[in-house]
Amino acid sequence: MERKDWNMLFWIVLVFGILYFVPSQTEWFRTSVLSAFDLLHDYARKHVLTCLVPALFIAGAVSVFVKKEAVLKYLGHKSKKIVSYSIASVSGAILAVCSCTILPLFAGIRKRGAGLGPAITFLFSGPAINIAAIFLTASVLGFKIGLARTIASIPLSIIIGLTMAFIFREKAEQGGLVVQENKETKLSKEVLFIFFSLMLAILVINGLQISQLLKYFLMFSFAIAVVLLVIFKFHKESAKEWLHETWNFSENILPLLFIGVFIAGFLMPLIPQNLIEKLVGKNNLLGNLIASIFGALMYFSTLTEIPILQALIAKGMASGPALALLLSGPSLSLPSMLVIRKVLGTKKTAVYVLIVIIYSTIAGLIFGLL
Amino acid sequence: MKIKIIGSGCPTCKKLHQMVVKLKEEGKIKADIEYSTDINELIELGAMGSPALVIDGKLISVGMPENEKKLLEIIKKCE
Repeated sequence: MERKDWNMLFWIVLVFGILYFVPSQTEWFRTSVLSAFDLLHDYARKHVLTCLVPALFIAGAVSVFVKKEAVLKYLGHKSKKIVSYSIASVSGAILAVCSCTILPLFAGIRKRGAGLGPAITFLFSGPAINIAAIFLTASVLGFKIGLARTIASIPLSIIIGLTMAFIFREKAEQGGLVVQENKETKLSKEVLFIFFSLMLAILVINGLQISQLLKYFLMFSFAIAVVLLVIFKFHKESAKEWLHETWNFSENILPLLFIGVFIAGFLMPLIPQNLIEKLVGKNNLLGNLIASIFGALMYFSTLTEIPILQALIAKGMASGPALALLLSGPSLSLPSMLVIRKVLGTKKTAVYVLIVIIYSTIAGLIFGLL
Repeated sequence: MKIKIIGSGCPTCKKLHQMVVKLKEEGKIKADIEYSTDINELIELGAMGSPALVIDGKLISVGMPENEKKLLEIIKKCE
C-alpha cells in the first residue's frame, strides 16, 4: 500500500468511527443538524448570489486591475507619516484580498517601508475592510453593524498603529520591495471605472430597501451590463485573468465559509441562551471585554466570523459586544499570534494583542451607546 | 538548479509547491525543491506577497503563475 492509500484508509476509518458513534437518535442532535441546514439554506437563498458572488468577482478584479505598486509607493520609507497611516488604514481593501499577502506585506512595510506603525495599521485593518467582509456583514447582520464595522476599523487601525509606534521606536531599513506583478492591462480608465462602478452598484442595490422585484431586476440588468462590457471592451487576456483570480478566491474562501456556516448553525441550538445573555447580553465593560478577548483568541477563517456572530446575536448578544468581536476577531487569533510573534517577537506581539483588545472593547462600548 | 518556494502557509503557496513537485515528477524539470514557510526569508528577499518563487537564490516571481505552462516557462528561462 502506498502512502496515498494509507491516507484514504485513515479517512475511511475516521468517517466510519464518526458514523458509528454519532448520537443520531437523540433529540438535540436532530435539532442541531436541522438548524445547520436551515442556516445553510438561508445563506444560499439570501446571500450567495446577491452578495458573495458579486463580491468575489470584485475581489478578483481588484487583484488583477489595481496597480499595487501605486499604493505601495505611499507606504515606502520616504512618505509622510500622515499619508502612510491613512493609506495603510484603507489599503487593506485593495492590497489584502487574500491572507497570502497580509503577513508578507506587513513584514515588508515594517522593515523596508514606512515602519512599524503603518505596518500595524495595515495588519489590523487589512482583514477587516475587504469588500466581501463589509458587504456580507451588512447583508447578514444588518446595515448598521456593517457600516459600523467599516467605519470603526479605519480610525481604530490608525490609533493602534500610532500607539505601537509610540511605545516601540523602530528604524526601518532602506531597500526595494517586490510586489506581485500586474501585467499592463491596456484597458482605458473609463472602461475600468464603469466596470467597477457597475459591480459595486450590484452590491449596493442589494442593501437598499426597495421592492424585491425591482431589486432583482436592477441587479440582473447590471450583471448583464458587466458581462457585455467584458465581452466587448476587454481583451481576452484580461478577462481570463480576472476569472482566474476570482476562481482563486472562491476556491480558497467558499468551502471554509460554508463549513463555518454549518458549524454556526449546528451550534446555535446548543449555545445556552442564559450564558450568552449573562456574559455579552448587555453593553457594559465586561460584556465588551469578553467579546473582544474571545474574538482575539478564536480563529475565524475569512468571513466565517459572520455566521458565528449571527448565531451569538440570535442567542442574545448585544450590539456593542458584537462590534467588539467583529473588530478584534478577523485580525487576531491564536494561530496568527504565533505567526506575528515570529516576525515581531514576544514583547511587541503581546503589547499589540493587548492594545487591540482594549481598543476593540472601547469601540464596542461606544457603538452600544449609540 | 535549486528551486525554493517560500510561502506564508496559505493554500496558494502549497499549490505552487505541488505544481513544482509535479513538474519534477513528470521529468519536465530537474531541480532540488525546497518549501519554506519562514516569513523572515520572504522579507529578506523583499517579497511583498506569497508564494515567492526563488531559483538559485534569486527571487523570480511573487504570486501564483496562471497555469502550469506559465510556470514551466518561468523555470525554463532560468536554466
